Amino acid sequence: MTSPRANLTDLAVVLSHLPFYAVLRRYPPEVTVPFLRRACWHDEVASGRAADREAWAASLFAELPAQEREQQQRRLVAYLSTRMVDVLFVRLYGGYQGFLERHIAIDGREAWESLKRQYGRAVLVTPHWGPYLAAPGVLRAMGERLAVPIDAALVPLWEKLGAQLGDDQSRTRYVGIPGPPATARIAARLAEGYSAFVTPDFNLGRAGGLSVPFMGRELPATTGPARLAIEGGVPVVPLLLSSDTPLTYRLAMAEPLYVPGEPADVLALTRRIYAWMDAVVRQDPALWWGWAAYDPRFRGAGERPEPRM
Amino acid sequence: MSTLASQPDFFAVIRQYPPELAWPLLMDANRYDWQQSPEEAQQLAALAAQHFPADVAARSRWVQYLQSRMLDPIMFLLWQEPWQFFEQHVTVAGQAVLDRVRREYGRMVAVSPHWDAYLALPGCLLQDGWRVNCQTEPQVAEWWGHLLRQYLSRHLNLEFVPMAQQGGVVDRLAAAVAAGWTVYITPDYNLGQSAPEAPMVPFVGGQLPATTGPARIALEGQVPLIGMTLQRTGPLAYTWDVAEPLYWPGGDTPAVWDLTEQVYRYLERQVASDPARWWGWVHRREGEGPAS
Repeated sequence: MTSPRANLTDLAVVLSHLPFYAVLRRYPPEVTVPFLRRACWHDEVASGRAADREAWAASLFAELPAQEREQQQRRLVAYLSTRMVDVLFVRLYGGYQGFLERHIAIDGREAWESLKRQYGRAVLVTPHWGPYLAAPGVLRAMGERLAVPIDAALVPLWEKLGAQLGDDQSRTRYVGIPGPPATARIAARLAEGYSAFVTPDFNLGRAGGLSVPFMGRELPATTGPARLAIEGGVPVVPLLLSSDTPLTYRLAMAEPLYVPGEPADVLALTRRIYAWMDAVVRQDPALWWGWAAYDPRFRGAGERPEPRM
Repeated sequence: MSTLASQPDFFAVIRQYPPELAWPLLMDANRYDWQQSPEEAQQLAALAAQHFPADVAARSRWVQYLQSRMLDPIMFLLWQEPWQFFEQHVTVAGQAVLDRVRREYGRMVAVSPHWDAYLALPGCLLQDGWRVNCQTEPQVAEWWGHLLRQYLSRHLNLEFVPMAQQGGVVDRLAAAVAAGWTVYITPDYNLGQSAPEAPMVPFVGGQLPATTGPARIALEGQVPLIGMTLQRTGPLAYTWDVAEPLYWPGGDTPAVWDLTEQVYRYLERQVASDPARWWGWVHRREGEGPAS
């Protein structure tokens, strides 16, 4: 059986044919994005991954009534199979003038700008939900400087694509995981004035030390984001990228979960972060990549607790 | 096709996807490229208004046809080997004629008007097993030749003869026939234009400078002269229509001009069935009459 994990690095076409994307972006997204979506789905079906995921997703939603189960199963498979299109779309077109005005509605931007004036940068948290992969690109289009922890295997890919597209790569610094302690590397970037874009549910079940309620279970959680904020003296801002219609997105930047000067309680802040992410994922569990983190086939861990809706 | 055509890497990647995926992208991209050339669009609109003064729908269809016709040969050439484009998307009407020619002569003079998906006819002939020689403009020959060598393993069976400004084309095509090649000719434009003394023939409500080339090549080479068209009948659906022979060696030998008239009557019938898919309006001279 093909491992769904392969999806993470299955962008060989990007690495080997970067000029392809340089040509694509000369056309408007209305022309290219539908193709990318269909091509992505085609690749998934042709490789057999879509069929694998069908069975896997059915087991995840086994407790739901049949009709709802099938619907959620289809949505999760479609989401997992085509989520790369969001990031490609923003990567290709994010540098164009008028991109934000045409494609992104931003909630809470004034409050965010106010926080930035005061603190210069922040720890930005979001779950692996919906088009979260495109959020760094949207933030870059807004002019933010970001440190983004991602799978170490993908760092060369995005750096090469950025170079091909002529991006100012100093605006985004990738922190490859695994590698030297990620928290220390992100803290160093915070000190340089970068904001940190973190998705803490990625580490669920791997980081020890604290249990938090998440998706119906008590799960071990990472305290990294809370420590980064408290020790770095920066706010924690939850943000959520969503999309209801093709080619348009909404970036919601919520009230901070922490601002410097509040009681410095790492555990309490960690719980607040996870509680916020839990509420997001529960709104629509079929758009959560995190299901994959619980499946032994994704990581070979084999002993992971399964979340419940 | 300027942007896409200048990017061979683009074609190399996109042909990995099936035609159903690639076709809409190519159509949309092509349309977009045309939108970036408002002057050309204006010229086309003026031509369309001149040739279809009373039929607004036909004007629009003709412009759309002109703007997308290059995609037919592109799909045939690039998507043939990874996706068996010909076998999957072309219906052949008249296969018996082709088989008989193949059995008895092994080559022919194939004529077609510049109508509908005619640009992909050499690809059809190639996939049906013929060695094909066709005349084309020098710069186009170079471009197609490059794609052909890059993407079609049977490219040695398809040759382009770049047209010189001053004659010689008919002799070269006749030599190709003698060497066993099938020649594909579109007589409603090229071969006649370069000859100032070319007689005019009535054609789709106007006059066309005619060429006797196809008739001469067939008669002198003693090979069948076959009319054919390729029609786009739907998205990614084509019908290759092979007509009964205009000339078959062995019977009474017609005069060159009689056979030439037959050729043009055949071509005119095809164009008249839907004049909004005739490329030839582009070169119809002012005063030669509107479409009927």
